Amino acid sequence: MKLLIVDDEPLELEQLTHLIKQKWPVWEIYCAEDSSHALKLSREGKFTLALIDIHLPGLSGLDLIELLKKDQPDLHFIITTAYQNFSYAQKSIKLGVMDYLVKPIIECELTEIIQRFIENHRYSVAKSRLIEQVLNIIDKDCSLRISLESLAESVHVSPTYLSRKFSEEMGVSIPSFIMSYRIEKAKNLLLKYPEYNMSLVAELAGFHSQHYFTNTFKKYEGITPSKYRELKSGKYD
Amino acid sequence: MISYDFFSIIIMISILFPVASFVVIILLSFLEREVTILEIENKRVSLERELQQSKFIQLNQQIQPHFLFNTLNAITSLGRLGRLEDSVRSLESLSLFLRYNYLEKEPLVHFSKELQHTENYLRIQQTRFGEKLKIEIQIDPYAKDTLLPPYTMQTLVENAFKHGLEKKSGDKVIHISLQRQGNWVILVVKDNGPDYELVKSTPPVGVGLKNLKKRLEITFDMQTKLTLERKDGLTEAMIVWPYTPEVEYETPNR
Repeated sequence: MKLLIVDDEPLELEQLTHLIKQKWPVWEIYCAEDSSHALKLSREGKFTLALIDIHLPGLSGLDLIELLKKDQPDLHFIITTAYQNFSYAQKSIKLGVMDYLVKPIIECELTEIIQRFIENHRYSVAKSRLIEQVLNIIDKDCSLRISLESLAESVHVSPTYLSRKFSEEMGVSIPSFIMSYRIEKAKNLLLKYPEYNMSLVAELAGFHSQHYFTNTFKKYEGITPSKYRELKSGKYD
Repeated sequence: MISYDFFSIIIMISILFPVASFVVIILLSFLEREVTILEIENKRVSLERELQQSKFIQLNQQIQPHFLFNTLNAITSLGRLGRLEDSVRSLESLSLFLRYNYLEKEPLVHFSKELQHTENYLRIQQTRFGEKLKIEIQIDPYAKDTLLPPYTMQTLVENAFKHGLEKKSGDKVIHISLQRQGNWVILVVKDNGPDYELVKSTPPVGVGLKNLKKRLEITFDMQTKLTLERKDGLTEAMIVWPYTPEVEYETPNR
């Protein structure tokens, strides 16, 4: 999980980093004090979640979200603000901002919002740095073939150790984790990009053939991918 | 020969007329007095209204929720990060800031009190923005003993943050100076925030500045001035008012 925090107060960046590290120690957190720094960071690497202050100097928080979204369409946003001002509400809904956090930051409110994000997006949370790394690789290489051996090699441990450690921490084996990850990915693609055809979705989610994709999808979800798209279309958050 | 009837009518008129005139004269003077009373009453009411207004403006000097919540957030941060001493110092500054706000105010306060209040505010902002915020204060010793309406300087400084510095990325610079020119005192607050709409319209449209202008007019008999300009890439707010040293009205016998 890579997190971007943007706020013009250094102290606030420190506080949010501290609070999140306390609860999710293996997450990578990047901080920016203004929009231009944030955009630079976004060009250097992909983020999962961004916490953005609405009152930023220069480009406003909402304008920044608009630009970041162009760079990284899959990025999720939480806005922070010093007090509730609903004149922003309309625009933030339009931009698909997921949640908002009111300052002063209350620890349980922050945890709850992030927890909700994790649940809504079925985001997998690792406990150790090793497994976190593995999850990042799976996310990055989702459309490619991933083997236990290649995973173990990239994190410099033996395949048996990795396999055991992964099952212990995540409660599932690596192959079945990867499979459900691909299915989740396919579900997102189906709804988010209605213009993509089935073979493209299959390819991007890492299935070698459309036939294999349709069969596996049906096994997991009980319906075919096209039926799924038909039923759920227009309901993507 | 005139008839008896006609004669009696003439007699009646010559008696009634003076009586009627007399009554009218008495009534008139009554009316006049009534009018003067009404006029005085009117003046009193309008004076009272002005006083009320000036009190209202002062009461209206409420703390901006944006500032309050940001401050609480900064202090909470300091606590969470284990910077106990800094958090206590910030709480002290906030307490003093609030104390000044909730105290019953005279129409005029000593400049040093207003300066202390502004310094508490600036100390809190320094906690929030850290080294990015640069504060410069210059006080002319010949001007420092003047009185001024409370919140005068504070309004200008708050405006500098709200409309300028909080919208400026990178270094934020605020420069405050108080000078004396003969019988006048000049307070200038400059910030390096971006150019903003308010500057373009003269007279300034901000509610805070409008209130301040009104208060200066109510407080001083002599001319006062409030201007807001953009000069050399800085936003510059200036107030001019008559130098008013503190006068001890009653010296109690000791």
